[in-house]
Amino acid sequence: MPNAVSSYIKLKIGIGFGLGLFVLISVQYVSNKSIKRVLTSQQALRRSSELSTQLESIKSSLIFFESKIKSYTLTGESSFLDRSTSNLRNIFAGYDSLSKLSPNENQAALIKESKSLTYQEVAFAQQILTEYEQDPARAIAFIKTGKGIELISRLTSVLDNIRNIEAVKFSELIAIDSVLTSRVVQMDIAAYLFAFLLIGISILILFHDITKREALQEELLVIQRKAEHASVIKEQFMANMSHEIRTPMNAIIGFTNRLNKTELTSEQSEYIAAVRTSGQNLLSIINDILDFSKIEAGMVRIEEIRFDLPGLLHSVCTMFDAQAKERHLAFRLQLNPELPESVSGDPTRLTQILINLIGNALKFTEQGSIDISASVVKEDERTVLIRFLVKDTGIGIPEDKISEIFERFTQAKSDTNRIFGGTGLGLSIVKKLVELQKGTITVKSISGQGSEFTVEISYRKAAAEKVLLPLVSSDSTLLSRNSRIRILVVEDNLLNQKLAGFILKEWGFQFDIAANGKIALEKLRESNYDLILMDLQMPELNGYDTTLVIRQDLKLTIPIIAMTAHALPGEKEKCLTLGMTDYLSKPINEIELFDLLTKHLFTANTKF
Amino acid sequence: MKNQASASPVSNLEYLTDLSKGNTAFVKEMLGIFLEDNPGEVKTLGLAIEETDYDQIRAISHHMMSTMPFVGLNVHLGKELAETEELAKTKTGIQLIKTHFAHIKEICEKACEELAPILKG
Repeated sequence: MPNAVSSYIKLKIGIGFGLGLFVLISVQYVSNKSIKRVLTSQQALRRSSELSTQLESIKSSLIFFESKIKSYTLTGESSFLDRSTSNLRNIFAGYDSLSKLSPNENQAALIKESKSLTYQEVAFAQQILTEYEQDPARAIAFIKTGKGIELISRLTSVLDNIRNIEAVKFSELIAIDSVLTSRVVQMDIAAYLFAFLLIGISILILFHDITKREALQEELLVIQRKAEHASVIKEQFMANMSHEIRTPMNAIIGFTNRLNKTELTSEQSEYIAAVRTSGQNLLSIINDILDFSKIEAGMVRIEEIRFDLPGLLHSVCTMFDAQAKERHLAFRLQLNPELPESVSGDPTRLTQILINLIGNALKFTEQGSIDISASVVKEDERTVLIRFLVKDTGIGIPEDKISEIFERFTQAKSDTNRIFGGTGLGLSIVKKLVELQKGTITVKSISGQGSEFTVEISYRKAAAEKVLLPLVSSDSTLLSRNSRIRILVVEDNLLNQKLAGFILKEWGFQFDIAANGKIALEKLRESNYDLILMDLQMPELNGYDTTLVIRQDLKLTIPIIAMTAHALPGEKEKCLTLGMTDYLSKPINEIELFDLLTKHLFTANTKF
Repeated sequence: MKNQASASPVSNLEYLTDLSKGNTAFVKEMLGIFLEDNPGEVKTLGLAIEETDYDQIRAISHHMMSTMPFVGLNVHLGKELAETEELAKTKTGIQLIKTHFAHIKEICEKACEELAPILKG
């Protein structure tokens, strides 16, 4: 759904940009065209102006030419003829220019007429000069005929006509130019307005979409929370229901066993055996479902207790020894000599994992062997990573099923359930249990040749505790430093009060005990403390509410370390969310407590 | 598992001994408190179960759960007490709680029997 919304928004943005680009290109195109037309119009104006200038020049040259000829005839002064040839050349060059300035048809005809009259004027001038050479009086008489004046007058008239036509054209061009210029300005304004409009609409659409998207996200979050809540309720219901089913099932099997001890006919014995086997199968399925539901519901807690690791492995293997012998299978346990004798962790969950894996190996192995081994992968001062291997020569797992083998209700082959029974939950329970202990599980298998399951879990070294503690208590510098620190222990359980007091006293800390949150708040109002160890479940005022008052009402930033025996997943997060600084599970582990006190009292940011 | 427990000692003072580095006086003080409180707690838990008072069941099982490790009973009862507390929290499973309680009572009584002579000795 969010993807569809996202694509929809992307499409809108794409269309918006495309439209904007199209408008920009269109405006640019129209604007360019108008500018070109304006330039053409301005060129025409320049041509028109040039034509008018040329006409004036021809006109004045002709008058000048005629006047010089007359002056020479009347005075006989030859200097009047000095520039007449170049003057004539200018006149005809002027006509050539006029022809090139794109005159219209009327103007071209008038130019032609004017040129013809100019030739006549030149011929008339030459005739005057010829007459003058023979007899000056005849030349003067020839001038007086008025032919020259008439020619000049006609020429002037023709040239004026050409100029008048041009003047009309010029006015038209000016009008066109003005229209074009104003159109370009209008186009620019329209383009800007349209662009602003487009941007405005795009922003509105985007804001609308973002608001819609945010609302949708909020809605999805609510749905997700509801789904998670429903899932938790479902798992809790499953877990509780399984409990309710398991109790009568145990009764059925128990009474069947008792019934079996009474006198029965062979037919009755057969029926009782069938009831017993079916009951046990059903109970095994229920147990699997119960375990799985509890894990899924977060109801499984991981213990941190010291246990004998080699002893546990021997005990588990002893459980299967008889069964393996009965089936003529070689059953071997190999322990690496480096394996620690005791570690801290959850022996119950490790037993459950091993029973499940070895049980599977036995179930699926017809002949050959089952090998179990444990070795140290790596270790540091505090922890040791142990690898457990369960290897069999059984039916194996087809390659295409290996990736799904840890998924719930999955079995290697479709007929596995029919032949071997089971729910298909076993390996998925094992995986969950391994993961709850922050471990890993992998499998290698070849169909028909066998399987090898590898589990790696990190355990706390139990021996390290004994070595480390004296260092803590016997160091006089540490004791002196600790004596300046005051700790408030908020705990209702007398035994836990005594225990915390014993440890803190041994480490040289000052401390006070408060039996519940209410007393703790009174003490905090009266005195200053450097750190609080806070139990969660207490009468009067519990640890959660006390923390809220400390943070919100008393406004104290003092480190608060939660202590609880109730180590359910999610508990730690709840404590931290409510304002607690850290978390310690009970029974108190000295090393963990010491680490936490060091972390929150003696880091670079603290006063000690 | 239960048969094994009844045949061998159920209590274990390793935690207190290790933590106190063999301080007998401290171990005895803790033991004294346990022996004084535990029978009363078991009795009150039994009454709460009879009355199906889930809030009370939850409070007592939680309280008991945090004292069990001191005498090594968490190995036998940690799971039962945690489940009892969880079930009481959801106000369901009284039948299972009753089953668990029978086991809790048996183990606690046995532990008290085992520990009483140590306190006197």
